[in-house]
Amino acid sequence: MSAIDAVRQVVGEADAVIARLRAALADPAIVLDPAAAVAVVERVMSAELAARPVVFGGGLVVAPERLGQPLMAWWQAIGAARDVRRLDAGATDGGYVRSYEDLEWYRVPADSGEPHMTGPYVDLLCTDQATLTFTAPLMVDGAFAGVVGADVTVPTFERAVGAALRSAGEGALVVTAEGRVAASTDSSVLVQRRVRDEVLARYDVEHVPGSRLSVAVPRP
Amino acid sequence: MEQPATLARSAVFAPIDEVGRAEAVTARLEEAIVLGMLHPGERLPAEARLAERFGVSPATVREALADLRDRSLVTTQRGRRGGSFVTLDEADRLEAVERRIRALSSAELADLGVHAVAIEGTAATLAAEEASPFEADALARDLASIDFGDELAARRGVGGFHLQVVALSRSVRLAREQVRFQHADGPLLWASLHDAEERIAARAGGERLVAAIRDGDGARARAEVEAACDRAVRWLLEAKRRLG
Repeated sequence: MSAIDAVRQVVGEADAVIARLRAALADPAIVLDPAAAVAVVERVMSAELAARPVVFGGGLVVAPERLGQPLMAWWQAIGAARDVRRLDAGATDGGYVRSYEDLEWYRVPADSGEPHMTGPYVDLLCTDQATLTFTAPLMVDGAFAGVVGADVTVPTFERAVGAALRSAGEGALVVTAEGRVAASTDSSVLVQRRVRDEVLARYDVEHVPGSRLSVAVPRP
Repeated sequence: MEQPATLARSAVFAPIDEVGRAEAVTARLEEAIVLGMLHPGERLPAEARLAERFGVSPATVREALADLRDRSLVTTQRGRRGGSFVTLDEADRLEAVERRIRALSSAELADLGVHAVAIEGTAATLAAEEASPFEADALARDLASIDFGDELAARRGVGGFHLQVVALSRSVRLAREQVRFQHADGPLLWASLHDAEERIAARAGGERLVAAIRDGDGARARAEVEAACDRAVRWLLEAKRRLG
């Protein structure tokens, strides 16, 4: 498989989770009823996490202004056994973590109305790990009502694309739209760091369709 | 061949019994209550939830809560609105912090600052190199949202702010180490926030740190962390001298 296809496959898994969540939450009555929304997300995520081992977790975050209260319905596959459990966001380190309205993966889709990929970053709220978070806005009655999303951890991403990336060329990288390294086969280029534009100019950069990622191969 | 018995070796194979676990749970909760991470009047999570979070049996949690009740740190009420509530009042809390400052030597208090700089100084350098403009803005909003007029709010807010700085280093290990440090020692290190003047200085220092990160100036970011930790340690040493 080409590196482009390998990356596209991982992104496709996250996008598929998002599409399933969107479809299951199309009815406004469900999204704006906390008990119903939680039940639907649990059902979808249990099936999706079982079917898609590259996805660590995912779910729904409802806009507090639509519901009168914050609601995070997020399920994760924990450990090697991938036990599916609901994230206990309220119990995360005694209020040390900022509210999700100030987190990039919520704020950007909320402001732009467009899907977004955040990271790689250290996700203190959900995975406690270096993570790529894919999110998309959820519209209800034509207005923003929250985001649906899926997390892929950086170690999982590396395992999923590593072999294809190595065969793409010596020192090949996967970089994000902001020039951050999501996967690297070059020991002198560290994952998560940003590569400067003048450095990237020495690579052949090919965009992975439908994503915010590109495969960069050093020019001979 | 049988290896010689040393203290370190015997500690490795010490039985992990439920008695020791109850003490560990008690110590963790006591620390959080005494240092103000858990507010007076706050309800603790239910026993089953605590057991799950700590990874111990419900019986162990019950034993720890009984111990905390004996020492008047929590009260337990029955019924639908029941649960275990934090009871320590502000005067008792301050006294407990003073006891801790007295119990630690000056060298140990100074070492707290060294540990803090080792984690957050390194993290701040990396954060300055790696943070995106969005992340720097979010960090500035974190700082701006802290109510430095109120001691408890300031202590909690400062903890969150420092953790975000460390997360921006993009080192998972440093972030986890900072969480561990803040749970164990952070509230003692930031005990200086008891003084209004120190809270004003903490806000100004935080603003300079955010500016350094935004400017991508790693050396300045590290220097700001060092200055803040130095100031906090000086306050602790001064408090120790005063308390005698």
